[in-house]
Amino acid sequence: MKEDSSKSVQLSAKQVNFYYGDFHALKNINMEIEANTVTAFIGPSGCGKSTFLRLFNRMNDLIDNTRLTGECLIDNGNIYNKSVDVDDLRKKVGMVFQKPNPFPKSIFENVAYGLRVNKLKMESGEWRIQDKKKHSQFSIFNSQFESFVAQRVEESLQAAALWDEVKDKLKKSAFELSGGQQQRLCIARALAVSPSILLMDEPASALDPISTSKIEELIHSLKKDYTIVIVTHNMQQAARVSDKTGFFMLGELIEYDDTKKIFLKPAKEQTQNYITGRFG
Amino acid sequence: MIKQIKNNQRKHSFSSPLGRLGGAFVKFLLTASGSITSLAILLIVIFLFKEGLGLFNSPSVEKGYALCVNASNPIEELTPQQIKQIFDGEISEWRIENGELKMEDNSQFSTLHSQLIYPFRFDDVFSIYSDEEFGEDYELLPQKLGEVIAQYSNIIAFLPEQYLPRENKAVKILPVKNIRLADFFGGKEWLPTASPSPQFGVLPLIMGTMWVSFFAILIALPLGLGVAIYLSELAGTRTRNFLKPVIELLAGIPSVVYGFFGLVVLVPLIQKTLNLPVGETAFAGSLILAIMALPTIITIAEDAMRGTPRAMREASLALGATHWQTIYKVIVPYASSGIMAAVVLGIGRAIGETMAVLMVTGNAAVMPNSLFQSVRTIPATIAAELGESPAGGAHYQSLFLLGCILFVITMIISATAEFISKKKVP
Repeated sequence: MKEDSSKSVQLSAKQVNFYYGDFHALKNINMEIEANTVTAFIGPSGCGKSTFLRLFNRMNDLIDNTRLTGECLIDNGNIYNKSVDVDDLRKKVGMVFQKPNPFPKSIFENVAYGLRVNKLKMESGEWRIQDKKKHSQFSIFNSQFESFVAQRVEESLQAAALWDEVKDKLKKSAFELSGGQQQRLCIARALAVSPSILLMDEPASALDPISTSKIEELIHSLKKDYTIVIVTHNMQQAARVSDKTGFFMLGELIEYDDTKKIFLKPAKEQTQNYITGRFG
Repeated sequence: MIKQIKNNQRKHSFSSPLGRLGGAFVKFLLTASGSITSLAILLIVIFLFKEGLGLFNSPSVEKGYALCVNASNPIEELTPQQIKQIFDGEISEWRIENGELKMEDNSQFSTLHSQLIYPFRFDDVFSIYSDEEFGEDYELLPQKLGEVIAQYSNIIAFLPEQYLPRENKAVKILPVKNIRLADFFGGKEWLPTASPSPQFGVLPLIMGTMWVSFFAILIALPLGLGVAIYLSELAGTRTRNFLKPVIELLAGIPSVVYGFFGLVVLVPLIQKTLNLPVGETAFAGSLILAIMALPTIITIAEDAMRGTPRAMREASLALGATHWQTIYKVIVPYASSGIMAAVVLGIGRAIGETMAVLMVTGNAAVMPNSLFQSVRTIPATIAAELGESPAGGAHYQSLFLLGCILFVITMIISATAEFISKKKVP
């Protein structure tokens, strides 16, 4: 079963070049990422791995004076097409950032945020219709919606392995949690909107080893439902959690293969040098 | 180990005796400047309240004067307001009802029991007697005054203390009461130079200040926040780089220039378009204040919103929130304490602003009941009247007390803002 689903390509990049002003940050990158796998991007700082990751939920759009050539595809659709609604895209492609960045709201509201901001827009699907004009329906719908939100929040927190720790203090500020808990909260927040892809930009770099191992376990368990792409500086982490690994250097994708192969028998010398710690 | 290194570092930085002395000197300077500043502010506040509260030790009639009535008169004391009304002719008769003294105005028809009041000012005595009758050095003046008062049972005379007919048994000198809190805070008339009894009713001034400030903020706040959101979220880099300094420049324009602009442009415009008898209204003041408060509100609110961490924006956008949702669900709440600061400073500016308001509001110290009416604010009153009030007098003290009120109002506003921004539920 699992093997079958992992055959299909979900994310792909075709001859992607990316520029910050005059700086050529990504050079002609081609890559295919299969569904329900964990893919790790490794490489020295400034090699473009985060930039590449952020292409897939169009986070780079927020930066002025950038330029992209080539195609980024999700489920065979170019996400940089004019017809693509960026907000819908980002709902489908969740993201977890390097530093835990919970909103200054309660734990519950942090997870519910994605549901609340999207409820007006969902036209079809299970939790749609919030017709503001029809007041008669509003209240009934609202209570249904609230119970849906509560249920979804619980599911997400459970999926992020945080439920047991926070179930008694959902109304407390998210800032009261520890760094590792906050990061799992951010993961729960991303899961709540039911994305199919999860982008993780060094999700454990600001955490202690215990929290890191919890996040890694979490990545393992999420793999069956999500396609995960993770950027990491920690090569052991890449080796532990990922199925495939891409090695970036100076804006180029040097090598992209099964993780085992990359770490045991890399094809390129640069990869070899990097993973053995000769530089970087 | 670490402690040792730290100690070494500290030793190192002040290693030479000169360096150590210099460090101690800088430390002393900083401490001194801090304490001197706090002390100066404290002294100003103390001075303000000392002078202001002196008002309640001042007599409620003009200094050096007293009121006398015929000994048969049942009146024992009069409030400043009654005195003023009697001498203005607003109260013309009194009567005893159930053992109580009732004052009545002209409109009331005279009843059997009511008695006309004969208000008598010191100068009136010179129309009754000729100058020769007072003697060489006016030494007979008190005696003559006594005769007049003894003659009329319904007289209320307002006389200088030095000429009071104290020996005359037919004269009752009313005790001079001090100005009371209720006269000041409850009074609806501000006539600080009225004779015989100045009126220090501060309500019209407070109301004037409130009306002008409230509507100024009502105009400036949505506008200011709108511009702040536009500048921080929507405007391009070039637009922002041009607009921000221009707006900040506006904050530096002297208020008298704003006032001049208001007087020359806004006031006639308001008068014409709204077809008012006078253009110098609370509305004109509000508009000018709003314009003046805008740069402050915009600059601070914009800074606060731009200070929202990029991670917050990205987190929100990454969850599929639109730009607008991100603005009002994440950025504005995150920046709320900064926005609150902007609001408070804006209100502070509006309440404390003097010159521009003085120039455009018409300065009529009456209870406002419409926005399109002349009003007078507290700061404008202080600025306009301090020059003509004798130092140490009741008028002078009342102006200080106005300053105290202003101080307390702004304190309450700051404290409220502090409270709200602290209470902010995360």
